Amino acid sequence: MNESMVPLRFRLNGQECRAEVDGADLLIDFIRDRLGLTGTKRSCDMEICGACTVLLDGKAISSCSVFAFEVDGKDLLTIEGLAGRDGLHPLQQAFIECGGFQCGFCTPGMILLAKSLLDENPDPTVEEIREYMDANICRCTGYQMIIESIQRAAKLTKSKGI
Amino acid sequence: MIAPFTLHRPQSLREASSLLSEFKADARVLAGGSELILLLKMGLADVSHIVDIKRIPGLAHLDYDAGSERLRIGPLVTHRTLEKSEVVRNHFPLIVEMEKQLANVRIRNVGTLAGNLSFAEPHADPGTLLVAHNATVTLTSGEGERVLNLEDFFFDYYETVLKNDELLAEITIPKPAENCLGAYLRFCPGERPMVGVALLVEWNDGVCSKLRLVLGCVGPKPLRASDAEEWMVGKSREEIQARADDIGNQAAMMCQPLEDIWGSVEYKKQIVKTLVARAVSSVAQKAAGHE
Repeated sequence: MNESMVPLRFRLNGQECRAEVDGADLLIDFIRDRLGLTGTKRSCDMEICGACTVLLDGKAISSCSVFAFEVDGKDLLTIEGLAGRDGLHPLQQAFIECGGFQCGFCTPGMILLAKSLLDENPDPTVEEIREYMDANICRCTGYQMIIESIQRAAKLTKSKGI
Repeated sequence: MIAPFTLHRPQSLREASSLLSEFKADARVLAGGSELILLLKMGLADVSHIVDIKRIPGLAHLDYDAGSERLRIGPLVTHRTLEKSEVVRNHFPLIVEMEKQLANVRIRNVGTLAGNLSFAEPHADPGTLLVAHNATVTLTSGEGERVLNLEDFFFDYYETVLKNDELLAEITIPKPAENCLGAYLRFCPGERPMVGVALLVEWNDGVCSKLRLVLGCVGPKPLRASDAEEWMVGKSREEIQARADDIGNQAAMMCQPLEDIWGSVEYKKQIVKTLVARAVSSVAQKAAGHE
């Protein structure tokens, strides 16, 4: 074994997972190139745009600027793990219903960031949504529909009682 | 791609310190990594040893001691933890206000306050506000520790007085006095602030008895606007309110911003003047409300 390799045990989208990474590997490269999960997008590569957002132990982070070894012992959620057996997650459903995406490039990051918001605050005001989602950029500028999608998802979640 | 390095994961501060002193300039401390990883990706830091301190137990404490009225912050405490902390909100509301505006929530989830201060990036918010709060820092090495005022911790652009074998082990912030009112204002057209202004004023019967006015991002490190501070001591809130623009001018004359992508020297001084005037005026108005 290469001395610089780090063994990992973590949960990937709900499944136990083991892997070995180089200390210098970035999380985004591990997710896209090793795990083959290309829903996570690289764009600005400097923690600004949010296209590479994933949830680590429920917290939104920029996978472009975190080392892959940081997932050890943690729970990693990428966009591929969001839909359940019963179908789409309420956020995915709401983004479709409200036209929350145009080109779709920012969407995985937007949806995961929105999930971390709703997990923390299930019934946010428009102002709270704007403040929180300010972290991620949509270059098609469909922000209004994104906000409406999140409000809709909050309603769907409430009515489903989940 | 980041150039390969050897990853060290010490179990104690003493062990971390001995690694740092062994590898000196070739080693860097990793906490959240939100600043360090950007530099590594751009190839701007030549680092062959990374010392990850996240496995060291006991570094994530955030305690308020009611007796000494001090907040003690461990080196692994993130911006987001500070932002959401009830004890910080109750006793240090300006710190919560500042943290809420810092970068974005993804960065606040991983970035630590200690990392931010140790990085000494001049375009940052926390240093400015914490110098106004008269914060101190505890630096530790295998040999022992020393406590410094945060003002003296910063040395130059991206430089602190940390020695090769030292780590920032704790940040301590005294609770502002009951008669203290403050403001933190920033101008932030991009991701990082272009100018930050922090002001804490103690009032006695409507007269300014003590204050700290700190200018951030307009020099190598947070700068106390001592001329403006001296002028304000002993003045009434009415006088201060009436002369807010002059105080702003006086503060702007003291700072030495660099011309960069955010703007020219004149432009930045104008922003300093405006923010200082607004901070002074808002604090004087709040004082009127308190009488």
